[in-house]
Formats: sequence, C-alpha cells, structure tokens
Amino acid sequence: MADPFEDAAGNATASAGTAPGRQAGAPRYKRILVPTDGSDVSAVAEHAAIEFARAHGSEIVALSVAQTYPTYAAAEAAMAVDPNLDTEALRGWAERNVRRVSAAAAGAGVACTPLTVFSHSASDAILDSARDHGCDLIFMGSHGRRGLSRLLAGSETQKVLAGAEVPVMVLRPKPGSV
Amino acid sequence: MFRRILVPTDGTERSTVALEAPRLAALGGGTLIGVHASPPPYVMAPELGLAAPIHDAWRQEREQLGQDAVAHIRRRAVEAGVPCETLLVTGLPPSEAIVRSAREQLCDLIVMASRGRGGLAGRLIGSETWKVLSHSAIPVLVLR
Repeated sequence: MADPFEDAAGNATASAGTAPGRQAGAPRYKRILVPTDGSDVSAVAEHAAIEFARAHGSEIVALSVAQTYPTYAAAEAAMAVDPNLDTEALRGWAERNVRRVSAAAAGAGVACTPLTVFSHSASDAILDSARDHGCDLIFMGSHGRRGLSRLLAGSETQKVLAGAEVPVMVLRPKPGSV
Repeated sequence: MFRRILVPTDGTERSTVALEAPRLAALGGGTLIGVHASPPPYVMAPELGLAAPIHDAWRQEREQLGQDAVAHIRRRAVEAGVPCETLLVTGLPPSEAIVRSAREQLCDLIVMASRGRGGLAGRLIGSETWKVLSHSAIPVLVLR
C-alpha cells in the first residue's frame, strides 16, 4: 500500500517522523510532559495524562517548576536574609508536586520520570524540558472557573502553545470539580 | 480512547492537523468530524441594494472554501482508514461554531492549529483558538 502521507507538504512529511513503517498505528506519544503546580487545575491534566499514557503505552515526565524571582536576590541581600531558605522551600514544594504525580502514575502502572527545575519562567522551563527529555506531547490544564492556576495562568499557557514544537493537550477542569 | 474527534479547519492547517488528527483517531478507534465554520457575512449598506449580489458571491466563495477544507480532512481520514463525517457551519463566529459543534456532535476531543487564517501576526496564538480553549468543556489538542 502506498504511503498515505506521501503527497503531504514537505514540512508535514518531515514532522511525521521516520518514513519506514510509519502507519497510523505505529508507536507515537511515547513520552508525555505533564507540568504540575499542585493546583486542582493541573490535577485534571495529571489524571488525563496518566489515563492517556495507559491507553497509549506512553511514559510520563512530571515537571514542577520552582519559579524564582530575579528581584529576590537584591531584596534579600539588602535585608541580609539567607536566600537558601527560600530556595529550599521552593524545592520542597516542587518535589512534593512531582511525587504526587509519580505516585498516581505508579498506581496506574505508568512509568514516570519526576523532574524539578528552577527557572524564572515557567513556560521556558516547560519548553526546555519537553525538548531535553524528548517529549512528543504536553498535557496542561487551562485556567479554571474559579481562581487561576499559578503556573498555568493564561499568559504562560499561551507562551507554551506558541513555542511548543510538539502538540499540547489543553484540559479544562470539569464544571464543579474546581 | 477518544471516540469522536472534532477537527475544525479553515483550509490553512494542512500539514499538521490533517495528519495528526487521523493518526490519533486510528490509535484509539475514533471517528473524525471535520468542521468548517464560516463567519457571519459582512453587511454592506443594505439600503443601496448592492448587498444581495455581493453577498451571494461572497457566500458562494466561502462555501467552496469550506467544502475544500473539509474535503481535505476527509481525504486524510480515508487514507488513514478512519471514519469521517464533515460539517459546514455558517453564520457564527468560528470559535462559537466550533464549541457548539463539539457539543452537538458529542465530541470528546478537539484537534486544532494554534493559529488559523485570521488574526494578527504578532499574536502568540490565534484569537479563535484561544477562545475555543477558554470555552470548550472538552480537551483541545493544539498543534502548531
């Protein structure tokens, strides 16, 4: 049978992966990046990603971004406060977030790589992590009915959508769940 | 996993959406629903009597564009061996037509490009896509 995608535009063919044996049923979505900030909104994305991974035989990379603020250093120096206190608290927070996803993934029999990253920009950290870890899909929650997810507030989601080289699955919390 | 996948198309996202959506449908045994939404017509001084012929020509062109766009999705679906339905919606802003079609067609996923034909080049993502993301109750897979 002829390659079903052979008459596609050049860039489409390139993005479709390796040519031999490329079929609709060939393995895809091998590794899914799931950014989490511990909010109810990202919990929706986590559950959906785990379910998707189980259905498609994918593995998960759970990412929590410990967001640092460049202004802290100067302010803290002026106040003679140990900046490591803050860093440690952030790290602990980020590690708790990814541990939660790892546990849920393990419960579903899905392989999960936990990842915590320090960054000034959540969207940059998400895009870099997706690239560095060879993720071919990103799952994210959009903002909910009530309250904004800190990590995934509108502008960060937009930046990820604009900059991602791979598909991004955007999930909205079900009404009543948030 | 996804049973009914809505694929909005304005005819410009040929390389990404038209390839990815059938693949996803094939993986999970789903059906594609290709939809093209024509925005409401621009009303031009109806009292001058010029509107009707212009509107007719405009509508004809839009309909041809829509037919071509959904035909492309259907072709890709057939090639991937995936069932496909198509749908033309007129008279609604595209984002509204997309969200409504998803609901009426009982879809469980929307696959669309991060930007389509319209919008400002400087925007990060298309305004219609952003509106769909804000209003859709079901997951939206956004492709470049």
